[in-house]
Amino acid sequence: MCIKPVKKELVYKENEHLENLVINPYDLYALQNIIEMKKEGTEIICISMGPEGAKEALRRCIALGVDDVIHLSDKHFAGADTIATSYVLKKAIEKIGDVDLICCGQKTVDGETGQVVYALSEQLGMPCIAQVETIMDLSVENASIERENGECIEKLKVRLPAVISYRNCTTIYKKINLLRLKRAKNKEIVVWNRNDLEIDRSMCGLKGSKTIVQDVNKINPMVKKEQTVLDGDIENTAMIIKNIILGKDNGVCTYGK
Amino acid sequence: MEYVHMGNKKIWIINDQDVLYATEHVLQILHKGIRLKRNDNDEVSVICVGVNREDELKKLFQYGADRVIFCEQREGYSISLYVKCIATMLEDKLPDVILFPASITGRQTAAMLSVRFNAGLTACCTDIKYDGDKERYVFIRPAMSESVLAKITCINEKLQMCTIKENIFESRFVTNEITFNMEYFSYTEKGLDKNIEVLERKALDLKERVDIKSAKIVFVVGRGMKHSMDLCKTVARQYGAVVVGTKAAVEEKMIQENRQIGQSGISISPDICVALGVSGATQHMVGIKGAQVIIAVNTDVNAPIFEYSDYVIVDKGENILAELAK
Repeated sequence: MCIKPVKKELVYKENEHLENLVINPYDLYALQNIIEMKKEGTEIICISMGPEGAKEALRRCIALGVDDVIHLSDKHFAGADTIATSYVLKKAIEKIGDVDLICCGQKTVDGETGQVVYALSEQLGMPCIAQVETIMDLSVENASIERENGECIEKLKVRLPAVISYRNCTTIYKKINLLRLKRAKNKEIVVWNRNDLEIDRSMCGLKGSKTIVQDVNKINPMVKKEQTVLDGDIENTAMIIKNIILGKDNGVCTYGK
Repeated sequence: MEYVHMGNKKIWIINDQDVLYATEHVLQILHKGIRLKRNDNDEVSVICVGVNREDELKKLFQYGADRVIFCEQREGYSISLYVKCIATMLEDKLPDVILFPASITGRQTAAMLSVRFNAGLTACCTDIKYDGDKERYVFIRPAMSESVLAKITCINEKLQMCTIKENIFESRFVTNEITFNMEYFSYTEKGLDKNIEVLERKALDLKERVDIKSAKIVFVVGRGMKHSMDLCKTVARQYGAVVVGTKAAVEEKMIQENRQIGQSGISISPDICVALGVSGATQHMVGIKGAQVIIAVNTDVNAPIFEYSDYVIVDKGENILAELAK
């Protein structure tokens, strides 16, 4: 399971969670589904490429019920686009070895490209099924999957190993086991760097990327408006709203002018 | 006449269909491709893989394609076959820039080819410009909940790629006087792809689809409205409003997912938006940024949504609804 930690502000309101980096909501959905599917003898490993704070997101993965986590961390991994990112993930997956199913979220809420899952399948030379709704059956050799494809629902059978991504996202942690979370807090998290993964500098981070962000401009921020506070009695307030909706001028309404 | 060959740009549009090629989405991207031509020496080609449908291919020329490169595949169509066809064409013809529709097929093809050819790929562009000084294309896309516009260029390799969502550009009919400038390409698959088998394919139920994009009046519900959904739906019906909601409302099963607005849902621009129990976190506000009039009802006097609203009511959503129902 590939996880990306994203900035908390992008997902939750202030103070809702303590960590600065949280699990990307699309990844969280995929992860919780995979954990629910888990059978005896199945091992789930979460990998995450990211800054030091990614460890906190990985600890949450442990608390949610995964067996092991690996943090892919190296200063040379920074600035990676989808090609460089998928290459590092591929090297990590190959190092883990003997992986049957690689699972991603549809996209991240910060980058929002949704490309890594496809790029990763190409890097690994494995079939890829994106936009997964449910895994109906998982055997040693195949997975039966239902997914949305444009205006169709498809039932597919894919030979393993394969790469999949779930379509949906969630911000709700279904069952964080507090005891597990506490234990996870003290767990030494395995870190793999560039040397552990035998990755050449030219293949990762900004150097391994084929795109570069030239500049970033702030755009159409939400405009703060001048408000009319409707604090009269409720019948009057409702009447004003009614008039606005029906497009009638009532002296307060500016709509339609 | 001077014939300039050096520096001609080959602009490719990848068609994501295998029968009906002239979709509105492809025609929109085609028109953008034509606008990227610097002069008549630059060439816009549409790449089609699938069955031979002359009427469909003709329409591509009517909408301005200089050339259609066509690879006939009558059966055994699969995504891996499709990608292999296009990859073989790519090696043969070396385009400069490739524009893909951001459909599932388009995205997957783009991302796989970008890895295979080490080509830079920008997802979901909202504009593309040509930088004459540096002889490269500049891909522009929103990021971080549509709060910023990023300008992205390709580095390290010549081939440049991007995907484009539907309805970003406009399609435009060019002419009926067309030349059928077809280029045929053949590719034969050695052995069928047995990795993915389609067991069943059925169209999504049409009745489930709601056109929330063109709604004039919407009621947006947040988690706070959990116990008043019946009332909310009744009042909405009474006023001809469409009920939509935040991600939280979907997770609480108050509304169907196809009615979700905001960052991970849909952005709407209604005339009137009545927000009931919506706090106004950035990821929701993105979805109703285009609303002309926002009426916000929330019990929390400090709810962020109030700052962006025209009318502010500090009350329970259900109280207001109960009044509106009368």
